[in-house]
Amino acid sequence: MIKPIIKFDQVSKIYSRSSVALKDINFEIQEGEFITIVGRSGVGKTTLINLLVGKERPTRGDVFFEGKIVNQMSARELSELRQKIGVVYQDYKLLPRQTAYQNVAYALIVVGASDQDINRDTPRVLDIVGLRDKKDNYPCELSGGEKQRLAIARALIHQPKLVVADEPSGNLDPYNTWEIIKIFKKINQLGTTVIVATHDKDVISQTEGRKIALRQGKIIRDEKDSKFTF
Amino acid sequence: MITFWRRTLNFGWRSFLSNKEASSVATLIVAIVILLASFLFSFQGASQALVTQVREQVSLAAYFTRDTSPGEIENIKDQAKLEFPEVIQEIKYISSAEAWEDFTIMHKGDLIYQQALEQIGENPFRASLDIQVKEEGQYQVVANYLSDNFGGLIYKIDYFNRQEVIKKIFAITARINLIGGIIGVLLLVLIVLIAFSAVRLAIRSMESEIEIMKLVGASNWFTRMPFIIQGVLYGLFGMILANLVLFALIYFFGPRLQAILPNYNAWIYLKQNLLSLISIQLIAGVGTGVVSTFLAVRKYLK
Repeated sequence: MIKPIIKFDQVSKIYSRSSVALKDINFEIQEGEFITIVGRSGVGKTTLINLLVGKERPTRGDVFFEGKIVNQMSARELSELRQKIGVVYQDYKLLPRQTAYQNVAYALIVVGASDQDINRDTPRVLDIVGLRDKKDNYPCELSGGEKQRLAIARALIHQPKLVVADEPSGNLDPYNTWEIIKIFKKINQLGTTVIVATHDKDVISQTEGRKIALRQGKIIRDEKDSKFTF
Repeated sequence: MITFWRRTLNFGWRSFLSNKEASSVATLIVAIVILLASFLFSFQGASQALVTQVREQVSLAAYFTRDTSPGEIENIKDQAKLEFPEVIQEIKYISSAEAWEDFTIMHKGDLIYQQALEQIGENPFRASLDIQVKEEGQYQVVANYLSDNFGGLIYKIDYFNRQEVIKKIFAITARINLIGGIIGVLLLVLIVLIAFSAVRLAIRSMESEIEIMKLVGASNWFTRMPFIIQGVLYGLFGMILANLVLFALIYFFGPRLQAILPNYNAWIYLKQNLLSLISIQLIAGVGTGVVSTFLAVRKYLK
């Protein structure tokens, strides 16, 4: 029996009585899957990602990654977990005082990559996301779309087991959105598990595979190869 | 390991340079801490010089009868030295001729004194032993020893007349040391707290960066180290700045200070105690920088 790479077991995240982000979430994700988590803004997609990377702890239930409970991990274990996951945050989370090149290289430095690997892979990934010419620019000198692509480059550079993207098309035009989805599909074909959280109908229509729909913090649908609206 | 340190130093240096405003403020405040610590160190030297200078003016004088021979006085001097090897700092035999000579040199050109001496017609000064001890309380012990053992040969012991004055001088000098020390330590604590706050503010401006580093997978130490390097840099640059100011002040005000305190030369004192000075500056500067960055970053790593 294949063990799931991710498991949410009866997970709830309650900030206050009037603010319930997630309620009784149960699902498993197998290695190599392409998952799209869909739902309008504020349904709990970002909270779900935050729980997955250990940025927040659930009020109830457990989140598992490769069989280990994320919400019980030590600081050291959390670092190791995050080194296995590439996350594209909605607000990019780029290091403001580092250039585009240094931002991407940082993810490799953290995992202890050699200088040789960093010098080889960083320009390559910047090339893939179309930012080679902007390698010496600081995040404040990049447009919203460029920041998004830079965040994607950083999430992919260390070839993580899992790539998670929170609203990856938020600042992209339709052409760039298609390009980004194409990158995610490609790395998924190479065996990486991909989770895309989005409310963008274009992204939903372009992605295949399993889709989990959220509404008011609850899973309302979890289907494979479905084409649905929310 | 070498790669880790090279990268950490590189991150720390880049962070120090890129965050110019916060780094400048933190460095300046740490420089003030170092400067204050150095002042306290110099003050200690100056106050010691002052105390020595004041205490040098204090001595016990045992005047001998005119029948006492120089040999007997020399013998008493040797016996006292043997009796109190750890107590007596200096013991000097002054013959009546030397006392006369000293007096005439001191009052050269003063007609009243010269006429008074001429009227007396003979040397009125008696041979004496001038004794300095290390601690104020020991004067009484030495005076008692002299009067108990050589009372027949001694005309007068001058300590008993000056006892109150000597006690007061010693009490004042001790108080100068104590009050100076307390004020210094309080100032140092205050300025260290200000430095802590300045460094905390500098780190607070990088709070989001710390969060991002953690989210990308950096361990606590990997995140913390560049900031600690920054703390070291605050200390080292603060040291350079503080020493420039310190030496400029000594250059301009050192001679004036020496005019007041002839026993104290700030250049020579700091040169003789260079290792201690550098250690104090490192502890005050780099210590403050490192500890405050460590504590400030720890808050955001939780």
